[in-house]
Amino acid sequence: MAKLSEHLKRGILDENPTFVQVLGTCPTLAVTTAAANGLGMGLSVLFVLMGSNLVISLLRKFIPEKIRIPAYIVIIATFVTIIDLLLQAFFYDTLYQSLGLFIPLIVVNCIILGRAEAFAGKNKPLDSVLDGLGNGLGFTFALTFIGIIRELIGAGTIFGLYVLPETYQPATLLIMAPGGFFVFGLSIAVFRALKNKLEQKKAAKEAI
Amino acid sequence: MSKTVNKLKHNPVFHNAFMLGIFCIVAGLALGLAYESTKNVIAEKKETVTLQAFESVFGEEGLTIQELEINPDFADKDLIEKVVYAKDFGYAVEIIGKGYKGDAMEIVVGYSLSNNQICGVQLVSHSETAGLGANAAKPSFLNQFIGFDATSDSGFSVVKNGADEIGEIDALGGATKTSRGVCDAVNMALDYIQRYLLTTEGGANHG
Repeated sequence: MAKLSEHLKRGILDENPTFVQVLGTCPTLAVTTAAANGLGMGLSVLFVLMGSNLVISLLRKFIPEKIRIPAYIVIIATFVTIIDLLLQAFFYDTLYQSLGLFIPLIVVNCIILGRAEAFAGKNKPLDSVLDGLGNGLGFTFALTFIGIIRELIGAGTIFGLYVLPETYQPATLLIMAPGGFFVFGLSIAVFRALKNKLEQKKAAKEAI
Repeated sequence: MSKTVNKLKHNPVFHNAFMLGIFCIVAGLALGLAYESTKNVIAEKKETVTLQAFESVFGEEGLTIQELEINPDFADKDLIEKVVYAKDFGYAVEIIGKGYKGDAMEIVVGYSLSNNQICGVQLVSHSETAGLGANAAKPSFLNQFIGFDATSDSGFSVVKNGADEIGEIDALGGATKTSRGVCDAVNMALDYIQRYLLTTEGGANHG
């Protein structure tokens, strides 16, 4: 179990794909116009990450080094297509409509290829799955967080529920591209600041 | 013969290509399996969603719906997907509109025969931005089309400041392109209704 918490801490905090590694920025900005979309995309990426990490790790001794990138892409693309079909079959009028074009784009999401190359290609299957879980949860957390902020200030709702009073004039700028960059940048800054504080506290404790 | 086979086996280019080929074949099989097992569920879902849209433009459930053949002389067959006749109610046209990024928006326009008006418009599926173009699916926007006399000569047009004349549609804030896309689609559906469905030839196709 120590392994699980290690991977979770790494994926969500120390090496958060969005706030620390700054990977997968394109879908991050595009999909966080609503909290539900951010959450949905995050969970889809989580599924693909765990699946592709597992398969790539299982096959790591059979994939010739020179063609590892095309091989990884084939595996990742297969998982993404499966998830695309599952979303169409079970979430046709909700998530599938809002995530639309971005589902196939998960294939080129740097996080997935990045973890495959940096971790799954060189580690055991269980570790790789947990790594996928950690990074996937980190990504989901980041996307949902940014999505909540943008939706709340930009539309007055959270997950479609009206939270702010009727008289609130939504700042629609936040739902558009510039707003996305603002919230993203500020979130990275806040996250890093908190992370640094936590690390300083830890270092101070250990020095005693 | 075996010397060449041996040479091929150890040739790295051949080996790489062979392995990649194996991966692709296995992946293809897995995908084929996934596709086959979800094919029917997906087709059913699409049917149900469209049927619900047809019923909601008339505001009723359990209607007797008869699909009509689309006359290509009066409509662009790529854009008009389905035309149905709802017994005792009227016609519904499913049409594809162009959204903000050029993506398709599935729109259903309902026309009532009892009072010769557009009785409802539904945005069945779209890829518009949440909080902006996605608001085109809200009744507050779509209800602007209701009550329009389908026999009149003019169509709908989008205005940005306060629509007061009949046929003027208030654009969505920050989503003019989406508003225009819906408007153009409704106009096209209206055109087909006026020039074909309401004529004696068009009206003869159903029970």
